[in-house]
Amino acid sequence: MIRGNVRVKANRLPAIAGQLERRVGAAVDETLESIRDGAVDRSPRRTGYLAGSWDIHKDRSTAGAMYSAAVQAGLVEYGTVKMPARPAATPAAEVERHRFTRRIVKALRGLR
Amino acid sequence: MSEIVVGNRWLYDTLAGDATLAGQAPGGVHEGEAPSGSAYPLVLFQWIGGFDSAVLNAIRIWHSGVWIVKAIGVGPSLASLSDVAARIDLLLHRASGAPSGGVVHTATREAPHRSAYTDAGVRYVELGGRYRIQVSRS
Repeated sequence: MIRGNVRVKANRLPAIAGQLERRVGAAVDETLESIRDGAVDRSPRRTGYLAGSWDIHKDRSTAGAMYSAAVQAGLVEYGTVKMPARPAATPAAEVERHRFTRRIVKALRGLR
Repeated sequence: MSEIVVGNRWLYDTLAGDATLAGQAPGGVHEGEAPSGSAYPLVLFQWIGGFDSAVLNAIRIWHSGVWIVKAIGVGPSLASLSDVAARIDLLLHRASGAPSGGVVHTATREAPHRSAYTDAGVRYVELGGRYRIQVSRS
């Protein structure tokens, strides 16, 4: 029987883990900003208040959300009984689905 | 025919063709907005976004769209609408179909929807969901 020992002399896993969070965080940031910009562009404008109300909240480095503090945002997004929906956030987020995947793939491929 | 039109047609056929829902929602099923003078509760649906899935050479597989589907009633309580919303979900969630002009491959509820607002002194309440519907043209 032949027996051997394997000893790890260089462990780069902690460094890669650090890169991973930073790179994925950058992809999340870019995606959130694109969704917000898309929602601003798509928002119906009368006073401009709704379009200017879209903002981003980061829960942690790799997670976040876009929101609007405007009380009419939900009514405009989903419509009412007398007003068809004029969605801004949903189409903006849908457009970014594939782009977000590509950003994550690019972030992972860049790990060294 | 647009995938959105195919999705709209499937939703209308599925919802308006159900006798139970017709009894629960005498105001009928409408796309976008309800005609003035409608009875309540009623059902509204509308496409609100989506993306196309394609393979190499941009061959389109289907459109993955999001539709808001909701029961709307008049009054302060959601209780009267819960049966209508439950019926809508029973008809749509995990359903599929072949409306004229295309195919609905899957429909799933992604999130529930609830809203309430006052218009011209009347309190409206909404209950329903956001449905992801994967649809292709024939």
